[in-house]
Amino acid sequence: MNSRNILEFAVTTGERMLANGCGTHRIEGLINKILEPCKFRNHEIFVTTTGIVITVESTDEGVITVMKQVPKKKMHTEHISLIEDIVNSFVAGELTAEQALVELKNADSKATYPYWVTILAYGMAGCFRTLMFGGQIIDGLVSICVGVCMGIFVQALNAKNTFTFLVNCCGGFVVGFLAVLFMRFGMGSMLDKIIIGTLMPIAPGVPFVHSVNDILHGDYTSGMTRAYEAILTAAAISTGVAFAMILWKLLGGNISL
Amino acid sequence: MRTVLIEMLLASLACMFFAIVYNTPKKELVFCWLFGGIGYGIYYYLVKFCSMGTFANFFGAFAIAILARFTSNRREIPVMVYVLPSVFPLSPGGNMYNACYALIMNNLDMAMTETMKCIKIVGMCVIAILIVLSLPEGIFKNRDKAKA
Repeated sequence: MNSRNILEFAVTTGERMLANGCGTHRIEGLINKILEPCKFRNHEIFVTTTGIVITVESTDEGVITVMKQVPKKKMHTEHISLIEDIVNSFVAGELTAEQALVELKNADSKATYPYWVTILAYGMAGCFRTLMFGGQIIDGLVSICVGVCMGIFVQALNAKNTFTFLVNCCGGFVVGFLAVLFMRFGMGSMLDKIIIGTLMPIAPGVPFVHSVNDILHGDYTSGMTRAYEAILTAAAISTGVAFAMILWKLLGGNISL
Repeated sequence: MRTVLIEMLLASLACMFFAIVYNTPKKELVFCWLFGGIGYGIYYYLVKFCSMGTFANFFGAFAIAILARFTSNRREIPVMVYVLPSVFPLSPGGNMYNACYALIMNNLDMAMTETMKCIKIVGMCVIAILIVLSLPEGIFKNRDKAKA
């Protein structure tokens, strides 16, 4: 077995897992699982939220270190389970490192849901959260419209690799602006309920849970990184909403929130 | 009791759509729907009828994590696929947004209260999830074999 190929496979696995939003301790465990049966003299793995370093010491090729940076992240749980399947079949000996690498690249291009389902999901999740916060049925309907618009906006900006802070800021702005617009036309009864409910799909509640999970596992570096990310996202969203409110005030009219 | 059921239904649907945002595999959506509803139902019942505070989040997340652990062992899929979308109604996304918004609007009292609430809720959820995840594998494996 070529140690260079195995290392390439291991580092690509880690990179894909990290880009799809997996926790770092889990990635370390997975890479360990890949490298353990390959009989290296020594191996060391270091994973943070923004990059991976793997060092392997083999008898015939000496010390090799591979490093990979992962700048952009999104949540994609189907890819995570696909990658785990590939790793399991590699460990069981059904795939060689080269085949596994090809499979890994194939798995990445697989889309789970068509575009419109994802967009609709943003709206519907927002709608049901609005109803849970105590909104009326009409608030829920407004929330679907606003949420779908926000989904289109966020997805389009993400596809263009825009700065993350700006994406969230624009998302917040769109929600705030459209919610007030709907209220102006007499649709919806409670502005704050609509805004907060619609923002829930991009609000960082779940990432924050993830980050504290990492911290309690002992991964202070990645946990703190994630926590800062979550706080920054919340700040970006509320900045966007505040901008929308200020704009509406400038355009004339009294908004009480 | 009727309000609890309605809230459960709303929460479970919210969870399911949120799971789509997270690109959960199609076959696992049903479980996210179910666990989200059950977890939030427990939380809501405890808050409404037992007048429990943040501790209700603990029991909600605990139930979600245990159910997720069982299913993940049966279907051989990572636990987090089930836990993350299901814990969505319990997670303090709204509080975090409120805290930041209050800070921007120079409403410092509200910002502080919301931040503290947010930290309390996250702590409770994560401790519950961690307790379940650190239980030995054997408990879930044996039950699995008995069922199959």
